[in-house]
Amino acid sequence: MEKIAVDQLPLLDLHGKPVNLRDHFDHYLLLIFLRHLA
Amino acid sequence: MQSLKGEFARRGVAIAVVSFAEPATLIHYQEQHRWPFTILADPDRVAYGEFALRRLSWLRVFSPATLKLYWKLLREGMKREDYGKDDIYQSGGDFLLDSEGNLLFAHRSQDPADRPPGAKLLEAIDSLVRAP
Repeated sequence: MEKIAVDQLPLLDLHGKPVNLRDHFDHYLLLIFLRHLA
Repeated sequence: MQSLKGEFARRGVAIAVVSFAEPATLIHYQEQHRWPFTILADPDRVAYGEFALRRLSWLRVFSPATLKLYWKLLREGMKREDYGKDDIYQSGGDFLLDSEGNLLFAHRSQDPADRPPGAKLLEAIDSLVRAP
């Protein structure tokens, strides 16, 4: 099974601060990547 | 998807949306749309790359399914909003992860109209949870 290093993704919150994706899990996380804002 | 948020929560599934727009753009967007999800920015598209979300070809971006979708949205009165930096060739996707980072479900869009409906995602989650 493919594994993602979720705590190493350089994601930012809306204020531009780094976030750890692990902090956003419940038991699971559905991650939706957008193509563009509409 | 917003209407199904409770169904995902009931299954222990949090939802986060990732965009390659700049955080400042996303703040402006969120002030207008108030999505009930965590919204995260990946302006350098590193996470997009980690999930193997590539740029689509011209033929896929302007596929008949895409044109049909856009025509439907236009007929429903949807207006194109300008949020600056955009890349119509970037593909999107939907991924379900467990807390260990295991990728339980992956859908990489083959064209802009290719997104799984929320109900289909719930079905996939239910089948994964039931699996031994």
